[in-house]
Amino acid sequence: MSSDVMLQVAAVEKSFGGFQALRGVSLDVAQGQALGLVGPNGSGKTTLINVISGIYRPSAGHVRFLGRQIGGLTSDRVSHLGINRTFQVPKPFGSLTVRQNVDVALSHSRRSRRKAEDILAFLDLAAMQDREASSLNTAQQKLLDLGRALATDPRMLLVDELGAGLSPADLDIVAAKLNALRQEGITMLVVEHLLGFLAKVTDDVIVMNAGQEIFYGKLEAAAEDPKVVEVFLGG
Amino acid sequence: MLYALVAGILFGLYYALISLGLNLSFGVLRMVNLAHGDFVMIGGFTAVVLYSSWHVHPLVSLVLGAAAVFVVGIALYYLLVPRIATTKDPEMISLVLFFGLSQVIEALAVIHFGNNEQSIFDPVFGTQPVSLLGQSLPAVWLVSGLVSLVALALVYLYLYRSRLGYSTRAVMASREEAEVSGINLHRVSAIAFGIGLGLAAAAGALAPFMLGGITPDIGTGLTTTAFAVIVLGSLGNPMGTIAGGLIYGIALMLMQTYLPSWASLLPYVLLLLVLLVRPSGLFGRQVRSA
Repeated sequence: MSSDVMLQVAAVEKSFGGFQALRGVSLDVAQGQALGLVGPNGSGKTTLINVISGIYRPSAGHVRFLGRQIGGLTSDRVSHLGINRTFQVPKPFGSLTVRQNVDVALSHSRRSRRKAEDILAFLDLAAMQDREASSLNTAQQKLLDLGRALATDPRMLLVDELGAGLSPADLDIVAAKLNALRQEGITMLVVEHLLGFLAKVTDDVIVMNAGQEIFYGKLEAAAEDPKVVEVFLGG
Repeated sequence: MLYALVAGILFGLYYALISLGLNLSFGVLRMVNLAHGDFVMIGGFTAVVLYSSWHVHPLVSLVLGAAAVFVVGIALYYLLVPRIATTKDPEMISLVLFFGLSQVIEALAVIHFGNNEQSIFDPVFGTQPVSLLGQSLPAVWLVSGLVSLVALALVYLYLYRSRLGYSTRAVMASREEAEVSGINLHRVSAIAFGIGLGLAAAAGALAPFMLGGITPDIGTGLTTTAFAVIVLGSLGNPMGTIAGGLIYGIALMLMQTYLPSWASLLPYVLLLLVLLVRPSGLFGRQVRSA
C-alpha cells in the first residue's frame, strides 16, 4: 500500500441473501483526495459507503483505513477512527434542537477539536440552532447531517448524495463548503448523480455498475469510455 | 365525578409508571417487550416476599427491586438483543422471544409462589384516608402518585438533562445516525432497557396496593394495558406516556364509577380507537416503523 493511501478497499463483496450488491470492489483513496463515485441506481455506491462506514459488514474482502483493518467494525468505532459520513436521506435527531444534534456527536467524538458554534456558523445554521431539527427543510437537514458528521472531526468524509434535492443555488453553496473542508485536509469519497456538482468537488471518479468498478479516471474521460456510455445510454 | 377525576389522575400516574419503561425500551429497540408486565409482577412479589419475610417497607423494596431488575435488564439485553438484531426479521423474532420469556417468568413464578393472589395486608401506609381536593382517598394512592411523579421526573431528567439521555433520544430518532455519530448503540440501548425494566419493577412494588394483589399471571394483562397507554400517548416518545397514562387512569375511574362491568374492556377499546383514529398516538408526531 502506498504511504499516502488513506483508505484501501480490496476485493470487497456484499451479498443480501441471493443478491450480490458488491462484486469484488477495490479502490484506493489517497490522503487529501476527493474521489467521486457515480453509477446508475442499484450499482452499489451506497452499499459501498455503508460497508466502509460500518453499517454493513462486508461478505468478503478488506477495508483498511490508515493501514488498519476496519471492515466489520461497528459504525461508532469507525467514527472514532476518523471516518464519518452523510446520508442520502438524512434522519436528524428530530426531537433535539439543531445545536443538540451537533452537540451529541461532539460529545461522543474522541478526537474532535471543533466547536459547535463554528460548525453551525460554517454551515449557515447558527440562526436556527434552537429550532427542533425536525422543523428544518430538506436542504437544511442535509447541512445539519454534514454538521453532525463534522462534529466528529473526521479525517475522511463519505458524502452520500448531498446534492440530491437541492436547488442550483444551494448546490453551489454546498460545493463551496465541501471544497473548503477539503482545503482543511479532509479526504472525501463523494457519491453523486449530479455530474456538474461532482465536477466541482472531486478530482477523479469511479464509475460503478452492478456492484463492480467499470471506470476510474477523470470525469470528462468517463463520458468517452465505451463501458460507461453503454451503462448510462444503453450502448 | 370529582372523586373519579382525582382518583383517575393518581391511577393515571401509576399506569404511566407501569408503561413508561415499555415505551423507553420500544423507543431504543423498536421491539415490543411482551415480558414487560412480568417485571411488574416480579417487583410485586419482591415487595411481598421482603415484607412477609423481613418486614421491609414496600418503598424500600421498590428501590431495591428496581435496582436489581435494572442490572438484570442490562444482562438480559446483552443476552438477547444483539442476537435478535442480527436475524433477518428482528421484530418478529423479538415478539416470539419476549413472549416466550414472559411464559418462562410466569411459569417460574407459579412454581415459587403458586397461583393464589398474594398481597401486603398490613396498613404500611397508615389507616387514615387523606384528603385531596376535598376528596377522601386511601393514603397509598397519594403515595403511589407521588412516587410515580418522582420516577417520571427522574426519567425526564435522564432523557432531557443528561448526556446519556441526549444519546438515548438520538438512538430513538435514528439508530444509524446515532451510531455513526460515535454513540455505542448497545451500551445506550442496554441502559435504557434496564431502566425500562427497573421502572416496571418499581411499579410492581406498589401493585399489591394499587391493583389489590399479585398473581403470577398478572404480567400479560399489564403488558396489554401498558401497550394501550403508550399507543395512546405516543409510541416511541417516552414522555407522551404520562399523557397516555393520565387519560387511561381517568377513563378507567370514570368507567369503574359509571359502567363498572365494562371497565376491563377499556385498554382494548382505547387501543382500537387510537389506532383507528390517530395511529401516531394523541401526542405523537409520526408512527414509528416497528
